[in-house]
Amino acid sequence: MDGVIRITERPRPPRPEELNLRFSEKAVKELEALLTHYPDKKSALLPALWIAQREYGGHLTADAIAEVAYRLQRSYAEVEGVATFYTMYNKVPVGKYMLEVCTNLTCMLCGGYRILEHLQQRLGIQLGETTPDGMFTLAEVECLNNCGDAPVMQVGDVYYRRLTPEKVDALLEELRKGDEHTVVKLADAEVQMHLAEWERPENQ
Amino acid sequence: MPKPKNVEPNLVTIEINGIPLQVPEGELLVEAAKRLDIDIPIFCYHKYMKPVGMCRMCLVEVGTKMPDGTVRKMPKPQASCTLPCTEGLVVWTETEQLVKDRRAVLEFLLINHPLDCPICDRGGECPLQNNTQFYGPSTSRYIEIKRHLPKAFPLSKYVALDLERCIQCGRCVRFTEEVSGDAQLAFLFRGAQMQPHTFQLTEFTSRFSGNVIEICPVGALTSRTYRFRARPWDIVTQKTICSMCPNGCNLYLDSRSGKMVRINARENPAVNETWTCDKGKFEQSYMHAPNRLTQPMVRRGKEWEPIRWSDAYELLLSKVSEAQGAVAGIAGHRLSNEALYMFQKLLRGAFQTNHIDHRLTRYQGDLQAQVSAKLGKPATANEYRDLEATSLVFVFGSDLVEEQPMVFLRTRKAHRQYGVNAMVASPVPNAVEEFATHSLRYQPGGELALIRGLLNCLLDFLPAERLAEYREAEWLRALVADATPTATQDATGVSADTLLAAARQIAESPSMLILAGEKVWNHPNASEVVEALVTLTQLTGNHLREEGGLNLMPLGTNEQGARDMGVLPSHLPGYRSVADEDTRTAFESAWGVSLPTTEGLSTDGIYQACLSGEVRLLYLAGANPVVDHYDPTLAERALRATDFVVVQDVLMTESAQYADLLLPACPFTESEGTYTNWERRVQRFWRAHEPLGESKPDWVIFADLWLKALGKVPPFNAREVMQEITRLVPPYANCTYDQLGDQGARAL
Ligand code: SF4
Ligand code: FES
Ligand code: FES
Repeated sequence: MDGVIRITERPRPPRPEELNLRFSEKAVKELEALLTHYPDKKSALLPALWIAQREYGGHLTADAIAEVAYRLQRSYAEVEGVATFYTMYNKVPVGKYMLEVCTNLTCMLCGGYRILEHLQQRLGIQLGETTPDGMFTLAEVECLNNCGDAPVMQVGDVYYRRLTPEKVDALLEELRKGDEHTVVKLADAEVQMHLAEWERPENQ
Repeated sequence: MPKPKNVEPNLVTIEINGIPLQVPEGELLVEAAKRLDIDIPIFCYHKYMKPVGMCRMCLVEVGTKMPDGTVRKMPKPQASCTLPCTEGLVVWTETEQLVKDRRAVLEFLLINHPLDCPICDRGGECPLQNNTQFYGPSTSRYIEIKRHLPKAFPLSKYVALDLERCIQCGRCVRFTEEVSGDAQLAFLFRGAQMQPHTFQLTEFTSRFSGNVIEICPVGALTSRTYRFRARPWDIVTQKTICSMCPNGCNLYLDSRSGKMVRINARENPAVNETWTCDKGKFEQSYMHAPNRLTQPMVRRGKEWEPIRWSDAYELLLSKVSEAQGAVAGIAGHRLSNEALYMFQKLLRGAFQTNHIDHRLTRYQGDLQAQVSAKLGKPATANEYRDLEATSLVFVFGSDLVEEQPMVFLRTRKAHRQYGVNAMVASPVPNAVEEFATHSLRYQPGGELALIRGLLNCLLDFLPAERLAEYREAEWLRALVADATPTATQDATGVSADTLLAAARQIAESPSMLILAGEKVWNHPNASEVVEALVTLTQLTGNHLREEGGLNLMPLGTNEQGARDMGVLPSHLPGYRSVADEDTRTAFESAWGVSLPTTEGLSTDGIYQACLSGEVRLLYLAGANPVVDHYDPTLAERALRATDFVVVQDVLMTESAQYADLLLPACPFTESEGTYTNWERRVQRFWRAHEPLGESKPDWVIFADLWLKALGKVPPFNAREVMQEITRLVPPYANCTYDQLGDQGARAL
């Protein structure tokens, strides 16, 4: 058949030997332990992605997705499909602090959007953006199951409750001083949660 | 559990729209309704994939019959594509509720659909158009702005993706996951953002990518080779069989103004179900190649001079009589059974030679004597369904996905759906390894040592009763005594542990089906490898099982037909020896000629004879040995040395450069005939186009020559050739064109 239209051709998917594997020794051990929990490798996909999110500094790059697929012997696309399905896996670089503001019903009634707007103003960024200094990323989330203390915001694995603009300012000051990457820390917490005590590399 | 062959289903009685009906228990309702020709609209359901109930288009109302005869209706409509039929199921497919539901489903789908039907390749044959026509709202209430996404995004050189048109049915994603197995497409994101895509928008490299175009119920996945080349209503569709490999996929050939514009799968549950490979779908275009031969030509020095057919025939026949029996013929693998039969008939009956062959592989031994006589089964014992019924498929020395794409798909399905185990022995990475339990990666040339190693282990693992049945266990034990696992490890590079595990699996499998491929045919000691495979089959008793057995897979499209039609130096059609007097008499009286009595030369023998001058006229019919022969230089030297070379082919091939006389033949699209696939299923193809220029169907050329040489009336059309075959070749007794119909029949 002639007349094949030549539009830009697609790049080829990477071959296994072309992958940029970055999992640390610790990560590999964790994954090995995780795999013993399930009947097949596919089932370990979600915790494996948490490991990757930690190993790749807080977000899943294409390399991270490919590495997980390689290590679990699944197709790249399948892993990417799962990674993009869940919002807690970050697909773009994020700041050290992910400010997740609840705007679901109760928080909305109690001023969740005011908090959000205040943050936008203070940080000079819009939803989904990251401050240029790589400190903060702003996100909107659904109910955090803390309606009694609305409005609520989650940063890493900590909840900040009954927020007011003043409290937010103080918090931002506080956070700026810290040097912990809470997104990475959260990812690590997720991983450790999946592992029994004796399976954690530091206990081996 | 493997899917047993020939089991009677358990029937249950259901009722659809007041019509009582018996169906197999567990059949999906959407399929059951087809039995009554009741239309249930669908999008995501596909007969050959697992139902997922994603689109909700197939809703029906259901109830159950109570013992007192009343019907208890379910409060909500159910998806008929996920509902298995059970006793007493009562179904309504045309209620008022359903009319509303379907309209609502379609209204939702159309909100995001661009409705660019006038420039959509799917227009006119689009399930979304059709369902909207019959079940959808007649007007749109949606006045907001539609979503916008990339259009005509090229996923590969064959497939383009239009995300605006996608209705998220998941068929394409499920195809790559369930059927082709590469899982190259996945849904990214979720909810309204959900879209099928490849990883990071890389190329869609699947060998079966074209299928997603056919199964997409909208124009989201379209063919880049067919794009904007025709509209469905100005296409002429013809039924055909793929000419690219011996798997025998049933196809539709779509043409516009006498030119093929696309190829689609034609359903045949026994063969390709409803799939094709990309080679068959996109790379099958040689019928329109610029180097088609359209005129008989004779060589005058360096130039070709066109001549008339009658002069060509005369020249050929005079050269044949000059050669005085020093004539040989090699036929190609794309010739139809009718052509192959007439070819050997012509050479034997009119040219009085048995120097006839079709094999271009290193193996040119007597397959019949080596395999069929010993196993009581032909060299290919099985059919597609056996792949699902057996417990173990052993792929031996075959790049299955390349050599036998459809067999690969079915093996993979058997593994996924019915838990059939797969095992593969290959010197290079092999696609079967993805789902194989054991992979025996041996060093090139290690085939024989590997089988001997397996035999050695098997003698220890097989139960005593089996060995007793085999009878020659002691003889075999002595024969393979040196092939211990460690010795085999040294000889093949396959670790002793893997070998033992593989042997154990073979011993424990209730049945095994072997698919042997190119590495066997081209092995320097191919005869010995074949012998060893025969022994493996006998030792495990698989020649006695319907779903087990040895299959020396043909590599060429109609290579099986060539074997069956006696395009062999030693056998007349139906594998009957040329030396056998009774056989000869039967053919002699049917053809009205006397036949040569001694076995002829095989392909390599013919080349040697060409070089030594013992063969002075070589007739190549559809064969291109200069490229396809395992030793191209030998073929080339032979062609150069021969006094008179006749090349009859569709294209100006590399071998045609050495010809003295060129006869233009039609491709399968321009003639009628049958192909025999690897499972010995004989299938018809129909003429789709008129012959180009002066080209003629191969069998017609042979028939013309038969008439000119002997003055005897040849068959009048392809149907008559097949009738003659059915009379003279016992396995083909039930293969008249009427009996073959659309779906073919196995020549057993
Ligand atoms: S591209 Fe076609 S087949 Fe794939 S999900 Fe969309 S509508 Fe379905
Ligand atoms: S609505 Fe914000 S925590 Fe429940
Ligand atoms: S066809 Fe049944 S839900 Fe899609």
